[in-house]
Amino acid sequence: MKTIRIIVVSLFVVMLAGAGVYADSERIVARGDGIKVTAADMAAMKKASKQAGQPSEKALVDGTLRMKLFAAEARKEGLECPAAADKGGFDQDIALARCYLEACLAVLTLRDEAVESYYRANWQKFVDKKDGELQDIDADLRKIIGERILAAKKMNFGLQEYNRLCEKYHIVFADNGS
Amino acid sequence: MRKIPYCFCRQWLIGSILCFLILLSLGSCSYNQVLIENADNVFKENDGLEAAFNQYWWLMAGKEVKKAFTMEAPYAQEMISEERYVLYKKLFLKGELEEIKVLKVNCGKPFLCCIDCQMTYNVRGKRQVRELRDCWVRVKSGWYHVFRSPLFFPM
Repeated sequence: MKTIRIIVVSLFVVMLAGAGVYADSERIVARGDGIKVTAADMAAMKKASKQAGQPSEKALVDGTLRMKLFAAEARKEGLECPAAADKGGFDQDIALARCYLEACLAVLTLRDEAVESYYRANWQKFVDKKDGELQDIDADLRKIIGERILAAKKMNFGLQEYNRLCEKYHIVFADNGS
Repeated sequence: MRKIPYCFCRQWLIGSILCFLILLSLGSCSYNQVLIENADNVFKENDGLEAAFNQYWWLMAGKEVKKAFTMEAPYAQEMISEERYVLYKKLFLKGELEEIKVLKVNCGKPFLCCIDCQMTYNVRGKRQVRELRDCWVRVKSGWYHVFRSPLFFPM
């Protein structure tokens, strides 16, 4: 009799724990227009990111939300993404988000004056070491400077686009989110 | 020091009072600028530099950092996000800018001028003086502030 009671209590405890895990995985961390990030999404993101170390809760929320927002924009714009074609669910979202980011970065441009101002403000960097003369800003040098600026711009783009989309989709974070 | 014409006529007096009232109404945005002879001459030789310098520091005194961002050199505007720039500047905008004393202006190149100045801030009632070399670059559309930061542009 005692053994049966222990088994029943144990089963009940296991069921409660299971329900708790399920409830936690469905916990909404952030939501917006047609977008929601759950604890299960974050766990999937953590698994997929293969990042060394332990990302903070905020970094994980931001990373997951960013991926979901980029994927949503890719779907909205009907972006062609062969890498996402044979995937489903979370993996498809990741592939779509990558396609979206690549498509955006490919069309980033620079103002002409960006290159000119970089060359002028940092002219010491362009002095010929042999003769001490300032190099003329020819097509090659323009290209080098342009690539340098564009690389930094690309680094910033992800964050800027994320902030823009958070506003566009009216994203609200849960109190226990970030 | 720049010479101030001593003309104590009625019009000047009324004008001065009006200017004083306008400055007073602007409250914390107002700051004094003291120039030296060399600065006056160099500013005259470099059209638009003084106006750009004044406008930039006027915006900073008023903590209008987003507007000041549009005066940063075009390359900096491309390389730094506005959000990060605002956060960075907020770290250094703790006090009220009270006075800028231009010590020297050096234009090593026709397109690049550096202004050595002394900034007086009021930080929680205490006056703090900081020295700064503020550089400006000229491109087709005018003079732009050269944003130097080891954080954003490590050497």
